[in-house]
Amino acid sequence: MDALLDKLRQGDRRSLARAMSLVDGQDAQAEALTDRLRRSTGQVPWWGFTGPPGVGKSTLIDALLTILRQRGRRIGVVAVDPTSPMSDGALLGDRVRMMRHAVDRDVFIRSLATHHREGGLSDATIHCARILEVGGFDPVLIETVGVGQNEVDIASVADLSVVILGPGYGDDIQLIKAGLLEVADLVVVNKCDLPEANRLLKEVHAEFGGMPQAYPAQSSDPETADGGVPSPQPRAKSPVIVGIEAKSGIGVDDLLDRLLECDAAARTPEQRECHRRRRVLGEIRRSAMHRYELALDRALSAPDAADLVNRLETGAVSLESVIAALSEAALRFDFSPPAPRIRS
Amino acid sequence: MSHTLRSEFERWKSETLAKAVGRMPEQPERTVTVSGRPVEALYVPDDLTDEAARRAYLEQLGFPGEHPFTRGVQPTMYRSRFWTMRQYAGFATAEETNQRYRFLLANGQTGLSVAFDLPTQIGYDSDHPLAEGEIGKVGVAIDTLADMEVLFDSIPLDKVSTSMTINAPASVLLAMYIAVGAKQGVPAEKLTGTIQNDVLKEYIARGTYIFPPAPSLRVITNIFAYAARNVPRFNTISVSGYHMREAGCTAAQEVGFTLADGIEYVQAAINAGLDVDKFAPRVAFFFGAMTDVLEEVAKFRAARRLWARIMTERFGATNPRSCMLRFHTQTCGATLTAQQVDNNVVRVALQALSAVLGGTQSLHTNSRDEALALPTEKAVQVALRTQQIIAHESGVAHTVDPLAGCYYVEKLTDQIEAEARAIIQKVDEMGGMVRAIEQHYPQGEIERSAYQYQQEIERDERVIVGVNRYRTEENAQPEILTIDPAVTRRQIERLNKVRGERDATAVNRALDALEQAARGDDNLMPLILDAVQAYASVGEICGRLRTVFGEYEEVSM
Amino acid sequence: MNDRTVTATRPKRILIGKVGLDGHDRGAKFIVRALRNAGYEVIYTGIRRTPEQIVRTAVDEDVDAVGLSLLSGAHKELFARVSELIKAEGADNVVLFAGGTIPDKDIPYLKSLGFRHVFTPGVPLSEILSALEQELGAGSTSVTEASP
Repeated sequence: MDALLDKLRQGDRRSLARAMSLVDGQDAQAEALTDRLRRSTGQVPWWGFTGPPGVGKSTLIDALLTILRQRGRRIGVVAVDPTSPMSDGALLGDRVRMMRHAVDRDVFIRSLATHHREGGLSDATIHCARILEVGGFDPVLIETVGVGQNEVDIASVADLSVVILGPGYGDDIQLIKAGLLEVADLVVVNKCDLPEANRLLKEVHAEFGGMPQAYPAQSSDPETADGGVPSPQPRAKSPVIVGIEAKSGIGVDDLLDRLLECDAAARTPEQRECHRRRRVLGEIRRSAMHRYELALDRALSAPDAADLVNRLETGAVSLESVIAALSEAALRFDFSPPAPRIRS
Repeated sequence: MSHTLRSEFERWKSETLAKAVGRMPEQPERTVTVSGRPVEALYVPDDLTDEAARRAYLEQLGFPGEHPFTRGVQPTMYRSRFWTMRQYAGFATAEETNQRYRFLLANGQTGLSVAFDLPTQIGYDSDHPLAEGEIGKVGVAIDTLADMEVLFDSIPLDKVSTSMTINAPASVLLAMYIAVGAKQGVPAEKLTGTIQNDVLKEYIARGTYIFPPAPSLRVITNIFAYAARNVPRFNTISVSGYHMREAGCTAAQEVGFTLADGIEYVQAAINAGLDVDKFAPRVAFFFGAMTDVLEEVAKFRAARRLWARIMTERFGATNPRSCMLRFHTQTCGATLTAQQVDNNVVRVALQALSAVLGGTQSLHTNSRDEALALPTEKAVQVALRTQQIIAHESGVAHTVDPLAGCYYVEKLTDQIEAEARAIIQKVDEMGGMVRAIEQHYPQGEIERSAYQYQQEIERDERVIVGVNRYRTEENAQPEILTIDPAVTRRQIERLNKVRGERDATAVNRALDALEQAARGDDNLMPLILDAVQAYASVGEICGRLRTVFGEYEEVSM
Repeated sequence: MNDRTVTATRPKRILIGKVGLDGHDRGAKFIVRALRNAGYEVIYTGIRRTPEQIVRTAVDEDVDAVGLSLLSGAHKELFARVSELIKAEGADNVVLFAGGTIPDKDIPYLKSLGFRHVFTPGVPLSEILSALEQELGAGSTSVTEASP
């Protein structure tokens, strides 16, 4: 494990790539690595990019990579695409728009599939981002699948969340805007060479620009109100709103400057501790919820469950007692990760 | 007072047809069947009694050589002169290609068609790193005017019409052709031929683009304007559907997207200040021919009718020549199989037949081994003979638009026209073809059609003889053409020699002037001509333009 | 209906690449979709990629297989370069395969470079999928939890 971590810190490409594959499965060896990674990371800014399909997320990231490289940074990118519900396969189509950076040693792009997880990310996303951090990439950009309601994941994982909008989404825009309130540190309107995009930009300004108090990007957690997790300060500013044209790069320099500004503002020691904690809590919550769901599914597919459900339908038992019985059964399942697979 | 169909027919015969026959007499052997029965130039339903039916005939079909040109752009069609038998060729170096051209001309081919290799098509010299492995493979390598001179050695440019399949650097190759003509003492006004010059389909289906759409359209309109004055007998664009068809679209999509591209070019030219009736007559088209014979015939007829209507309704063209959709056809390579290659001869014959029945102006027939590699001389000869047999022995060329009035074909023609119109409407709503390409619309539609077609083959719902049915054990593959690896070395040697011998100052001066003009609004053609005559290379010229215009990035799935 | 089984191994990852100047991508795009539908995670490079770009992507994405598609006749030179670079990276576990207009007589040479399969025109999809399944295992392996 130490040898591996050394290789990662040296930025050895194969090791980085291999480590990311390792954490994309769920065996015990992966868990050992992810635990170590969790310890040694959390200093580098992570920026999340989300928005409807086709709006230009990858194109924007491609443009940002160019400018960040000009400014001497080494950047890691984790690009997430949905796993097909039918086949379990996936078309990982973000990287095709970033191919100009493929041979640059100071850029590392990794494509991941969601593996059916909702929320726009996969479990491995956070681990891969940590691996990139260990490998010396700073910042780490995370591109997610996002349509407006499901971006809450990225908000708990990234230090800054950028929501990208564009023209042509009709009524979906209302839904998207509703989702934005919970997530966006920056709102970017792309394709501003088109009149429709400029109209959208005006709309966004009208809705969010100059709001006195921001949305709380993360509501304080009631259970830990006394001494557990420090509550994040509600932001004093509304989301930063920027119009760009990603393909030609117009406005992207300016966007990067605003990103860096927001990043600097969010880098006080308290903020960073808060973000780190939020990220870990999110990890715990996500993994635990997933386990509980699996356990519930297992319990429901057990032979005696059908009988229980029938009794609920006829009123012989109450819902409460059904839940209690299922929970008890579920707790008995063993969810320790399986032994590591042999990799050929 | 309504004219009967018969009186219109008489009018057409005594005016339009007579004039055409006077200019180009009908060949006597093409006015009879093989049994000696006389064949009329045109057959019409002149016994129609229903007034509405007569009106429908006149409106929808009309007469060849008259708007809407459904039945043909020319009154006598093949009775006077066959379509141009134009076999696309080009490989390795200019010397080898020149030899193939002389072979084809001696064997009765009537026009030349030049295929260029990928580095040339994409504006790279043979010594560019990205050219590695590609030199001379899919066509002839042309770096400088010196190569072009060799390519046309002993070929009189005033006697031969040349079609060049070149798009992004079309301006450069046209300039070279003009320069070669000048060296032969042939003035530019006498040169005939075509440059494909259709960049929109490159973005959609073919992939050999260089610059982004806006500067590409600027160069294209520069070519239109320059040629209208200086090379008036040259077709300066061949708006292409062939490649989109090869990429997997349907017949109606082929017509819809191609004509939508055509509309974009016409509009660009008008926006650049050109008079539609001056340049539109030189706009030509290029379609594929698939094996479904009757659908293809209907497709060609629908395309003609729709374009004629678009030119008058949308662009207000008054010159009848502006409304004539003249086209070249190539039999569809994607239908050729690597298994049982002799079957391909039959496929090509059927496809060629559909193009002739559909009224094509020129035709390329593929060789049977083209699923495997570039064709051998023997295979090319059979492909050429296929056209000659259709022309001289089949009788289909002896009357114009013989399938008119066939219930099935007329119905298909109407349907394809309607579907193509709907596609054009959609493109209009998106703001034109450039916008539509940015939004991945034509690309996505073509990908979908292609996927469906392939799935049908994989599931045996669509039979491809020899591939998923009627298979046989394959013996050794037939002989195929391989490119000698020494070609690369020879080409680079010649390039270096030219670079060593030319006047470097003159080259730089010309390139600087070109670069400066590219930043402004001037017509680039004269400057490109200066540069090629100073022996600047394709890569050097395109390289300068790349610095000014930038490069196009593909829009992805 | 999602069976929420834990996927203990992830699906195999395949890179489909178009190397060189050839712009014909109909076949490549078809294969990309077909492989996704067969359960693989697929990365497509787009056209006009250099051997370096393809190999770098293959290594960083830690793919299990690389499929190159080429119809311009430049396969011998360009595929040799890809094979060379893959070996230089030490990525010997990557399964190399190819498709396109490749004459039979060139196949032995490509195999000597390390290309395990060369799929020429007309090869049915089922044959391609079963060859890849043999090399890589099925698209995705879902394993349910072991102990109740």
